[in-house]
Amino acid sequence: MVADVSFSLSAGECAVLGGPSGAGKSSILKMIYGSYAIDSGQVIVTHDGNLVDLATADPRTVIAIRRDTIGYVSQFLRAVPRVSARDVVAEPLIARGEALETARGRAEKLLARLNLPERLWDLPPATFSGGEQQRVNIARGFITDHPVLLLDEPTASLDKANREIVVSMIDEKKTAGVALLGIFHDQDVRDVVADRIIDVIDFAPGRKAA
Amino acid sequence: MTDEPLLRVRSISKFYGNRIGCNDISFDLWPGEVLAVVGESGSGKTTLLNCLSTRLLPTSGTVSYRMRYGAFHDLYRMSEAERRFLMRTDWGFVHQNPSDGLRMTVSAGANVGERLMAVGQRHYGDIRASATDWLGRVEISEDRIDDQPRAFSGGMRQRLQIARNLVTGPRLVFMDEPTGGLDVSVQARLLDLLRGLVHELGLSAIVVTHDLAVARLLSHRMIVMKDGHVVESGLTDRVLDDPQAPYTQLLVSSILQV
Repeated sequence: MVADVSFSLSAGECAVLGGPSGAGKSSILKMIYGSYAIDSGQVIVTHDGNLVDLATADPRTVIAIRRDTIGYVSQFLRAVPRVSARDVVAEPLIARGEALETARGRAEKLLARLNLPERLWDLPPATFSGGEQQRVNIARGFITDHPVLLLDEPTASLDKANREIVVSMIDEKKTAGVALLGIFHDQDVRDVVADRIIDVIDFAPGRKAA
Repeated sequence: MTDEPLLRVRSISKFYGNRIGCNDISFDLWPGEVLAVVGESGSGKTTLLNCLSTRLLPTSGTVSYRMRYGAFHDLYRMSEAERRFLMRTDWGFVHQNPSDGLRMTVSAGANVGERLMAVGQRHYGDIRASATDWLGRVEISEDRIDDQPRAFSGGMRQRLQIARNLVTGPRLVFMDEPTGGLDVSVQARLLDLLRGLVHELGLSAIVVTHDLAVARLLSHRMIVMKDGHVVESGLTDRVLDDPQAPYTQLLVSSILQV
């Protein structure tokens, strides 16, 4: 898929992975999040005051890193039967020990900010439209204060008004010192949020040999 | 998070004569962790579960369990009485077929209450109150407490079996195809319930299933078995999204899309 991927990401910056479809942008995000295996190399993250190599971390450590350090907004929402949109969003906070009511309150604020109609909050998102699911997903990713946030096309199926809201949310994360790494196919969004573009074409396998 | 596992499994093997049940299996189970054991029929996953839960004597290997007071005990060096005590209090076992785990001809309330009496509770009012509370938590209405499980649907029986297991506050629950044989909407309800309870109670669990969707929903980590061997293990979404072993790739690609 990709070979010799090297870059670093600092607190308070938003780097964007660039390159055509199929170049391996999502794969890189998934390797950092731990849902794809890494054949060789290292991914070092500061977790709980220590440097941890994600490529060799055991599952238990990866789970702890996901709970506390690395957040992820995936492209598609994986709906869980019977869990309401509000609780899907609140879950990461509850996992970190937040009280149920506080977490639900924060979830409602985010859903309201993202213009998800209040009548949907009690429903499981499985039957929502693509844009509605994506907003649930964004709220879920942004609700915690993880120091690293991975964004896989969070604005792909949103209208202009909602895209602007997401852009302002990303700016707030940057101000708060969060390191963001994202994929944005949408040129306007990319131009506004990106501090730096990392061209994934440079990591195509065989490129070094050529 | 404690720094010690709850269960340590080292080189467990079980042979049926010359045939392999499961071969050389080792792993640690941590507090609060849900481990799924997946594989097709005959892959040895139930043999493994039975060897871990003292229902079947392994041919070789050790299983040690961290007792509430902190010491690790080898399950197969305990006395039968100690093992039975664990089974009744610290552990739960959810069978695929609820009639294997329930007493079908005593009331639902007594099915739940029996486990409490086994740990020494004697006050009838308290036992009945706990039973009522647990029936509510598994979404069985209070007016069914005096009915026998024979009069329950499959999904209700399975929920009753879960209540019976969880009422004593176990630390470790073994589940053998907990959603097998239930129709999909009943499965979804049961899965949601299990997921909530496991999280709320901080349970550790080992779940045997052939259903990868069940594994995805419930487990943190999974072990893929074939012909008695572990072919792959790791974080659940890593194994399912980026399977490394050819057999796991085959399993994952065999899932029907809705």
